[in-house]
Amino acid sequence: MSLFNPLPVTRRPTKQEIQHLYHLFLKTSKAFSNYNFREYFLRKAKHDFEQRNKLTEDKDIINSYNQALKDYAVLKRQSAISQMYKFDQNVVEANPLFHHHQIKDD
Amino acid sequence: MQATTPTDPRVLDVMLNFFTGLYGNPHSRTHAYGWETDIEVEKARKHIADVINADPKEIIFTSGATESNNMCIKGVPRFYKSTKKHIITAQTEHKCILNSARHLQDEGFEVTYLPVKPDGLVDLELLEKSIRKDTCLVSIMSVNNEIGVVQPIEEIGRICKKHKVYFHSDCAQAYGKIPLDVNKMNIDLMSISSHKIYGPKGMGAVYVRRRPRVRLDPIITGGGQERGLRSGTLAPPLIAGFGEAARLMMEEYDYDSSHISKLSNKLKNALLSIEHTTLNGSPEHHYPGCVNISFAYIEGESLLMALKDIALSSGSACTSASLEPSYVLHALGKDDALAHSSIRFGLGRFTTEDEVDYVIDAITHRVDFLRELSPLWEMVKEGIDLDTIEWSGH
Ligand SMILES: Cc1ncc(COP(=O)(O)O)c(C=O)c1O
Repeated sequence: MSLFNPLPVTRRPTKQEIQHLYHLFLKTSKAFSNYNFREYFLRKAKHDFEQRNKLTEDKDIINSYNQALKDYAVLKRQSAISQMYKFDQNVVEANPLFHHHQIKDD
Repeated sequence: MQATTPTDPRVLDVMLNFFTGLYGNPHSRTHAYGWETDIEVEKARKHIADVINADPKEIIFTSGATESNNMCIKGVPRFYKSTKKHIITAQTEHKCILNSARHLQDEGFEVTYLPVKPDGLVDLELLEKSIRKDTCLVSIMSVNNEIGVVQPIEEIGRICKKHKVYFHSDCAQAYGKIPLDVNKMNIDLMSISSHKIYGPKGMGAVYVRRRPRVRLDPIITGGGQERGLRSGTLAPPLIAGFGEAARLMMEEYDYDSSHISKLSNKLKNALLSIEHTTLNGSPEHHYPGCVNISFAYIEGESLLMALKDIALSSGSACTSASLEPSYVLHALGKDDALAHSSIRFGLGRFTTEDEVDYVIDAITHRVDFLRELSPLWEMVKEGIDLDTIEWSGH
């Protein structure tokens, strides 16, 4: 975690930095207590970083990384709030028979 | 359809700024807090306008699509009442349109309620023929909330323009979900709801064209805010949340659309492969986030029992299956029995594929089980045509 610098970058981030940020997105998304939000943000993080990995221009990579930092700050606040208010589990979430499509990556 | 949608956490994040630090009155220009809030309100107005290619000045904030619909249906005819006294709408419109139109009839206006074709679409020839010299407004929704049918809005706009009548569209279910352009489609007034796009409830807007200017009698009068069309101090937290929700609809349009289409196809294909099931409404002119299916020889209520747990315990849209005696399905010519055995499913940004699998599994088993218990089903299986039977009571 100490590796992580939440300040906007002006130079191209390294592959490791991007990968690290991706893992923070997964970890933070998983912390949502609400099933539907958790699944959505996991799916979305996976998609967004796949798109990011296709970028080639330095400028695009820097902008995209800086946007991701902002999105991460929102995600972090909201997953923390989500944990303060817990409601009943969704039946699908409670039933392991229906966990075919969950993102298991870590 | 989406009875409602959960508030997106990213929307909540924007709103929380206003409940904590940004508390100014957006109308008070003498105070720094007021300016800040005002800037945020105008930013939101722009996000909302951008989705439909409107000018921000044409967006009036309201408490939701119900209020916007009331404003348009009552306000436009009342303003032009010295020369016009007729409006046209359709039988499958939302209750807040139909009841506002009834109210107008009490005031002496005349209303044509267009029937729809069996696929739920408005007959354009009939619409054109129904326009009279004293018609001032045509109101047709874009996406139907029960069956997801998408009306030919651009063609309707063209007809209205040709005959110089104003065109209002209730876009509560369409805004941000299908492409809408007020200029390309000749829409003069549009109703929008925030809670159908993952924004806060109790919030909405009405688009009112400025060039050429559309006039209407306001329902709420007072300090003259919102171009005098809707007085009252604005609600910055709700507006900023609504604005962020609109911005996200644009940003996530492709991603959301492909997710919803994929789930919708999976659900439709699986449920329609069960014998004696039909999709209600046109399959071509259809918004995939709203799937309405009839299950013959089954009582919808018993079927809903199978979905009760998912409906009760999840915030997801997939759960908004519901069972009202449907005037919309009747307008499509469905008989009572089919209208009673129909279920609608809403799919949205936060619906998961696992939920869709669950629903498919639950419905398939329940349909089998219920049909096994049904004497009607036994006769169908034996090849007896139920329509030829005379059901007499002895
Ligand atoms: C088509 C349609 N119009 C109007 C409304 C009313 O919107 P609101 O809840 O914002 O008043 C709804 C939703 O309930 C709707 O689906």
